[in-house]
Amino acid sequence: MDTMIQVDAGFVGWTVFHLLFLGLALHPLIVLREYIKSNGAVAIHSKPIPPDANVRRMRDRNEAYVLFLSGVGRVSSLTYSKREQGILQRIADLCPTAVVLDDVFAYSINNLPLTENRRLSAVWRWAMRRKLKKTPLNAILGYLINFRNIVQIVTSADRRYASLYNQAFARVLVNHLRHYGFDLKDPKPILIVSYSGAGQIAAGAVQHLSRDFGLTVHALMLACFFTEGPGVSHAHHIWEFIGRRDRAYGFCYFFTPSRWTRFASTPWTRFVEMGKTTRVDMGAMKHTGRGGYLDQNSHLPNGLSYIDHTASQLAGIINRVCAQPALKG
Amino acid sequence: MLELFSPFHLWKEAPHALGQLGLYATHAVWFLLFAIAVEAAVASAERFLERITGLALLWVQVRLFVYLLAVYGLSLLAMHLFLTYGVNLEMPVERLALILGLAILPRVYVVFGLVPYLGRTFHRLLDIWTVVLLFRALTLGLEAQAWVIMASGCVGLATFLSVRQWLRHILQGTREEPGPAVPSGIV
Repeated sequence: MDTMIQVDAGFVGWTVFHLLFLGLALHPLIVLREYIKSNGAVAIHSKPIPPDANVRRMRDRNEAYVLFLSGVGRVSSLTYSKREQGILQRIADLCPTAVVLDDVFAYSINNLPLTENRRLSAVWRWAMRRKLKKTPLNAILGYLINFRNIVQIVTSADRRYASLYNQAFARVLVNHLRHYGFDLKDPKPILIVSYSGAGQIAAGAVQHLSRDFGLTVHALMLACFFTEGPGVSHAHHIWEFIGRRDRAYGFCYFFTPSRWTRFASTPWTRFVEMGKTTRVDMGAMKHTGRGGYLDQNSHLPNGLSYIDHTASQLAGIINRVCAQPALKG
Repeated sequence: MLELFSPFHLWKEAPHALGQLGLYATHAVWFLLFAIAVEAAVASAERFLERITGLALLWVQVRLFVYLLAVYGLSLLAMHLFLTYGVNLEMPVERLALILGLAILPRVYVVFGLVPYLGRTFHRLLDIWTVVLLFRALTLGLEAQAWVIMASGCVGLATFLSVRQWLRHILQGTREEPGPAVPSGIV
């Protein structure tokens, strides 16, 4: 019997392949284990980050709360991306009556950063250091973070895990909002601005924010991947901002057949038919990098930089929600 | 020997694998039990997501294991009865068990059905693959006319599906109360 297993390159490859998929299969159960065992009473990690100009700053008149959920490259509630910092500053400047918050880690159900208090924290810190060096080899290593966060996204998109996962994340969001003076008895409208993969996390949380807490949630999806899960149609309105050269969006859209509106009636198609979605054409913008939505070196024909255009589009909607009582629900 | 779990290997090497299973019948039984245990564990993961934990979850796993054994056992029995009394084909039940076992072995991959988002599609494909492999194994193992192979395969499948449905109905009735829909710890 022992001689029947030959340890050769094929066997090693076979084992690695299976272990990888076994890890993927067990990941959602490991993530949700504590939440299930504690019956939802898992502690939410909270580490206040000081305001940065108008970002994370309370306003004299708070008419709405804007939560920015970052793309898949993030490891904690603090963004290292200058582009993301740039658009947040612009939105905060353009929306004087909205509290703009970005210090939520969208890829954890207890807001615990990857780089702290985890068994693999050292690995994530190492990957983050590599990523920040921005050489080709280091960038590949940095993709470990993206891969891990993508697994969180697909967990949120899977109906089997979605209920618990999204409920837990909605709890993180509400807890976070309360740190900034959000009153559940007199709730202001919430606008979740998501970028890229975070769209699914936002779409998942919307249902629970709306149903469990009775909040009015507007989702602003900047080139986002999200599925027509059970929750997304609970949003008050969904705006999608899509660039014509955004191939990443097209690729992700391919994997969400439930949102192909030409198909049979689904909650999403009914939501679209009700006029509760708006698609905003962002021109010839790409998903990221040069020519991307957050690029300040590429310009529209009218001279406006891409990042300024994106910020003005988002801010326009945020200000509309702040100004119109009807939209506050 | 690990290749016996590979659906593609089994498809290509099914005749050899059948012989190998006969040769290593004792090991084959253990492999089958392992495959069924994995399937029971995966099924119990769904109960875990309904907030059943601890000893209650272990009990669910044991029950699911026994229930799957019963489902496969009754399918085997139905096929054996059909072949023996339906078409008068002499086929030792051990041989038939090996043929059925060959089709079941790749079910160990059902664990990958837990992979988020893509797992459910994989699960469906694995179900289809199991059916295809069952007919392949029957074709090679029975050495009978095509209609006998088709009919015995259909009897096995029909028994499998109906017994599974029946037992699932019973299990639903005795399922433990899951936790509240909204956790008590919510803010």
